Amino acid sequence: MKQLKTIPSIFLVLLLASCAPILPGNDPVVVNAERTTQLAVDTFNLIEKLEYDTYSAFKQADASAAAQVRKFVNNLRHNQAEWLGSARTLTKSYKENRTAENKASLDTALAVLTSATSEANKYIAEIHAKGL
Amino acid sequence: METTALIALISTLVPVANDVIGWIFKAQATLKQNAELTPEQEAALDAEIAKLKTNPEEWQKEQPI
Repeated sequence: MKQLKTIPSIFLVLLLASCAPILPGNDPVVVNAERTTQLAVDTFNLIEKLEYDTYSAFKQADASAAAQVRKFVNNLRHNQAEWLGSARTLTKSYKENRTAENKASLDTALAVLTSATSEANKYIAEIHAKGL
Repeated sequence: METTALIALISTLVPVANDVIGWIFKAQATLKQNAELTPEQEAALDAEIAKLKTNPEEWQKEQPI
């Protein structure tokens, strides 16, 4: 049971859900962009709420780690509107004009979201590992 | 076993917060998205993002270290 308690939730999703094949007539670039953006919104919400709710207890358990997580999550809070907004703007630009250049710009914005989402998942797992 | 039932089973074994359970279900739905968003879905996503700037929740605001 102790081992089960420490399984990061993200792994449950990875084990149990895989990306669905894209329906014919839909642009994989757009579908992937919209999936990535929605996943980022939800993951950012989760880590921000978790961090907010558990900060006091986390700080008591490990002040240094708590400060590190807070620093990351504050950076998210500060930048998320711009990052997410940029991804949405570039997705719409690409939909209007599906050029290689617009795709490249969109890919750059999505890479920022993917990186932040990945790091957020790491901290979600760290918070859970503390039993919080 | 159906994925939803399996998640429900695991959630009884793994003591995680309700927030995380909700995220798991939402993430699963997102990963299963296989078509471009409808105009209504796009508007909902854009509204959620816009709210971060105009009217964020307390936990979405920067916190003192």
